[in-house]
Amino acid sequence: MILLQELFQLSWEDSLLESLGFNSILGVVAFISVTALRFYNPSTDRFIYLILVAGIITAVAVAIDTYLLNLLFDKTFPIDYSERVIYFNSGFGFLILLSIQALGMQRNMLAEESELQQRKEETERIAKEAELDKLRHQLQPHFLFNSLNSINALILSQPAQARRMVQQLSAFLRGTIRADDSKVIPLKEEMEHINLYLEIEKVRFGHRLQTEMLIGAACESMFVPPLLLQPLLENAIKFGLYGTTGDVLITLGVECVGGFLAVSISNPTDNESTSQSGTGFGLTSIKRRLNLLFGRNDLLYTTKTDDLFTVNLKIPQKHD
Amino acid sequence: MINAIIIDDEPLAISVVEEYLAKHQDIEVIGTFNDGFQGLKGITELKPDLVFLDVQMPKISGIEMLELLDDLPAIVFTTAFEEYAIKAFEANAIDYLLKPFSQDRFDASIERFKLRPANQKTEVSNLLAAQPTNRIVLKDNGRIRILALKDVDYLEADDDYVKIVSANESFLKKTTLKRYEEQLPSSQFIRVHCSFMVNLSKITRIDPYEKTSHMAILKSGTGLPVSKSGYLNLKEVLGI
Repeated sequence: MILLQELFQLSWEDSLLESLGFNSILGVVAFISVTALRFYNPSTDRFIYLILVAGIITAVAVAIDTYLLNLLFDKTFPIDYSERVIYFNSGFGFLILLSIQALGMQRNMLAEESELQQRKEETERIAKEAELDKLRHQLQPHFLFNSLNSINALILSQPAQARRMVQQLSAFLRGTIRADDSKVIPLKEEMEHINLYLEIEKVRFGHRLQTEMLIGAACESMFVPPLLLQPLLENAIKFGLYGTTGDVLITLGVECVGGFLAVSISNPTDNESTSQSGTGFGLTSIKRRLNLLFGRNDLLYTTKTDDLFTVNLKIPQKHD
Repeated sequence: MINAIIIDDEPLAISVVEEYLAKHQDIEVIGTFNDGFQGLKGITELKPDLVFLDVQMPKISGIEMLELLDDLPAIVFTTAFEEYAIKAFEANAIDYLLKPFSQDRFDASIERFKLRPANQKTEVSNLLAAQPTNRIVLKDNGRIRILALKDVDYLEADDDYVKIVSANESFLKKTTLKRYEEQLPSSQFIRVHCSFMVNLSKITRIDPYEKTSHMAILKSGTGLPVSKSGYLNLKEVLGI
């Protein structure tokens, strides 16, 4: 407005009117064009397109402005000035529109990018969860069918024991399905699940299978990801029972060391025996799970002596 | 009277079979065993007519145990594993019971056993070919040896036997090279000659030998003859 006044020596009222008129028209068309851009985002030749649109819109705005002003305030403007005003308005409007559109477009691009990023993160999260879910729920069909076979054996000879085993197996399966990786659970809770599992296995294998639990009292309230220790015990039992022919003692030791829960699980092994293939010892899947949960590869390692195989595991305690 | 034995590492699994057998007055259980070693001894000493056999057992599987027997009794497999079922029939096993099985299903197996052709023989080789393996189980002076495949240098046909050379030891097993060709992983063991199969990872170099053939030199220093077709086999596996 002031520019108009200075450059063209227009009267104060005239320049105010002209500025208000043109700028509001400019504002309206700029808003429309930016809104339109939000829905239609040209990807190629976007700058040429931008300039073209800005030019056309400016021309339209100037035309409307001139027409309206002439209509409303006929002959208010000195005729030789109005042409110059038109040129000025055109140049000014064009620049303003161009920059508004450029800003709008950039905002759109940024929004799109962040949406893409979000979608990518979401996809990754879902994939990770699905994988964790799969790793966690790798229920051993062998365990299930053989347990059912044991129940089948007990039904006639020891019905009370058969019923007990049905209940244990149900509770174990329920715990397996319910487990949610997004939260850790107290060690005590995981131990209840483990004990259910061990009782079932002891019915199956009788006196051959013995277990020893050495758990520091202070560790019981520390946290573990659900269903992480049980597959390790399952592994140790399989390894122990199928790798040797004698009685098998499985030891589970848990200590709290610094910010970690240090777990060791050992089973007897036979130096001579080459393990039977196809029995699926699942240490790889546990390692993978630890990596997905904690982003570390150094949390699990194994040691082997002549007659003892031990899995050592560190579970970081998150301090929130 | 039919003499039967039951081999299973789970005591309750044995008791189910015993319970189901109670109504079959003409079948007597003359022994039960908890692993393949005892089972092998039991079969050899008691010579049963019928064996109920679990597959997954300590140290050696039921199938590996059968491989150590010269004379096979009639076998009914009892296991939670499904993957060998079809192969079990190809191997002329009497039947294949998936745990847990019913009395009716069990009775059907007994029926099949009684109606079997007199000359039917169980063929273990078919079963072993179905089982991916990383080892060879054999008998050596009455002792059972388990050899890891990665330690085996080569196998050599020797009349009715195959000589298995592994870490400076050699063992004889009554079988054919052809059977091992079917059983062992073809990416690891290559038939280089009508009488030799070699562990690929044990070869250090292949030298030309005489005019048309080659010689494979092993890490142990042993040289094995490579025939024309054997050389082609090697080239194919090595991708040269």
